[in-house]
Amino acid sequence: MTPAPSQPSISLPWWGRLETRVMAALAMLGILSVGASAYLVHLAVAFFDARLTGVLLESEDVVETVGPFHQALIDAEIAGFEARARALAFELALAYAAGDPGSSSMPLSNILAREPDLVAIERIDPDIGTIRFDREEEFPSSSFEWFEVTQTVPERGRPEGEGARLRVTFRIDPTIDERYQQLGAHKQRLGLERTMQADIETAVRRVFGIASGLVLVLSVLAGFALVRTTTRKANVLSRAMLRVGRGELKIRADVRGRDELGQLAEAFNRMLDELELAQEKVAYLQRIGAWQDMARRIAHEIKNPLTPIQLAVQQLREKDPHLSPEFTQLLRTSVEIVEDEIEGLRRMVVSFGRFAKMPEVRLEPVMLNRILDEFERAYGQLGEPEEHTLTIRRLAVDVEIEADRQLLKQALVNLVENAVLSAREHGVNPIRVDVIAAMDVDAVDLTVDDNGPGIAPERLETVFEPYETSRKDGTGLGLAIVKKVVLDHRGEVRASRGPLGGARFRIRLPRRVRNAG
Amino acid sequence: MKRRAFLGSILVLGTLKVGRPEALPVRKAVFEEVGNSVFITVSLPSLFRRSDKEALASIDSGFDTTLVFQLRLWEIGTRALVAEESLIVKIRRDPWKRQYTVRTRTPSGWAKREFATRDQALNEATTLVRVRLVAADRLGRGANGPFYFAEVLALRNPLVAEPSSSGGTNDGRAQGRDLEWFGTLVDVLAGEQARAEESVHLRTNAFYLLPR
Repeated sequence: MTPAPSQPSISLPWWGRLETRVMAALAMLGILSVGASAYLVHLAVAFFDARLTGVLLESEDVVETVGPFHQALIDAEIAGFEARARALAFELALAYAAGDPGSSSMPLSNILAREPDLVAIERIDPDIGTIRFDREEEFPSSSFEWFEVTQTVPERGRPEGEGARLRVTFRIDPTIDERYQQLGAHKQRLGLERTMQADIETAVRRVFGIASGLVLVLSVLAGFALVRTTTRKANVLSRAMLRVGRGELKIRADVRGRDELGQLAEAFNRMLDELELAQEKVAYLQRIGAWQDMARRIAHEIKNPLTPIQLAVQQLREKDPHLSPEFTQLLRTSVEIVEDEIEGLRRMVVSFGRFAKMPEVRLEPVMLNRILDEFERAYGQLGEPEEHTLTIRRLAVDVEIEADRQLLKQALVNLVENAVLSAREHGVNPIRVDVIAAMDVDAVDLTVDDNGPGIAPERLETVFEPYETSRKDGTGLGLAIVKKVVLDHRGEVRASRGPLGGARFRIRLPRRVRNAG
Repeated sequence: MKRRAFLGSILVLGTLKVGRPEALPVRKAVFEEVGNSVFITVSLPSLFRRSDKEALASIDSGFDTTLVFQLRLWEIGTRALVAEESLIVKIRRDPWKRQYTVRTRTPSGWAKREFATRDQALNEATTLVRVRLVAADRLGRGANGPFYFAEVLALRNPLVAEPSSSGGTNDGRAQGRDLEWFGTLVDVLAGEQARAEESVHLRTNAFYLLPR
């Protein structure tokens, strides 16, 4: 199979080629798909962004609403601490009014023991100094927040501002701050989420853009590879067709694969095979026709003077005056030579005439085994000695072909005679010739094998040409007649080396196709 | 390298502007050697702009505003990370005492300072004053080098990622992994701005230790 040339012979601009158009269409489709997806992603992001923003804003509003309550709670706590300190100051004043205020610190320690959230209680008296009770170890300032309240202890007889003061340090309930800070953390997170939204949206779009770009590039590359493969096949086919159109029937489309283009190329190559074969047949038949015409003319030109020559020679022999024995002998010898040559020429004329006057093939339905039977009856055996064998193997199930019985038998006779004469000329003994019929789905084969000298490989192609012979006295017309008969039967004949050691000729004829109905 | 570590590296590189601290904007800082320690003093006022009403309101409402400082000490020309320190500062208005407090986390607990005005508190919170950066004996000496500079990444109210926010699900592991990838990519592309209310990322001027 000759590969198609690599040079492009299709004069199409790059933008007009199938490859470019399909690639452009693929790229456009890819861009459209990615664009549509990008728009949908944009809409989806915007939709969820709006929803999330609403939720975040509402959550922040909730947190903002809690803020004033917290301050109000703390203010209430402070007011409570101040009220409790004031009450403790009165309690202390009453206690001291009942006893000696400078001699006993019992009320302070009692108060500290009674109030669980007191860190310290301290009485500051300008006259007797400061008395303090605390439990700082229990509530250290590094772990607890304190709140300090100072109150004047009301005392009868002392002017306002000059009396004793009570300083009370309360432990602030840590859960108030902890819960509020938790709320603050949520608020910050909500705010951060809201401020992050724009960045995240942009990042999401970038991620989608990168991913889509990668997918698009990969898709275009894959599409390019696919299109390239497909259009390359189409280009190869197209170039092959162009060259076939220019008459180069040896060209074959080198397209592989089981797709439609592969099948198309296979069918195209098969069509070219058949076309080439048909062309060879036509050329052969034309050559044969020319040879037949020439043979007819030669036969005619040779045949006409033969009879006068023969008569003249006979007269010469009859008119011998017998003057001299030497002359008589010379004349007789010369006449015999001329008569032998005339006889040879006459045989040649007969052969030429037979070749030139080959009848037209008349095809008719006939059973193959019938032809073989008639051939066996007509040919019988190969002659003396009896060791020579002709074996005819028929079809087990007879099959019908369209053939001219006489001509097909003649072709078989020519093949067998050619085998026998060649074997005999080379001294083969005993001679063996097998005629074997076989068939397949759409054709029958008639194979003639012999044990003769065979055909040299370089002569396998030319052995069917007219006047091509390797025998000394052969005319080179027998095999030419065989091929013409076979070609006229729409068949083919090939020569090769046979299994018996000699030549093999295989005639392949189409089986008869019955019309439906 | 495992995938998680790889993604983590990408995240860090993204945070550090693709790992090129030399390319960061420069801020003047003061480096002092006291004993065997090198201290840094640098001010980052842009971490708390006075025009950011929302942030100021958050402080006034009594919520903690957390400032995280990450300090990295680099040797110029070698891309070698010499030391790394971090510092956490919280600032808020105390609703009980009606004043502003700045608390700094120390190894022994929180150190608290109180200020009457918000500006004072903000100045205190956004200025790193004599923060220990590295032991002096870990650094080379001499006017001819080696030279060092500090990279400062300051985040205001950074977003602390919750484990469940990575997107992994039990009922769809493949989809969970994809979602995790997607989330990581988004985080990388969104950058540090999306992980904190405000961020300042800069490098200091170079310094060297005097020879002894």
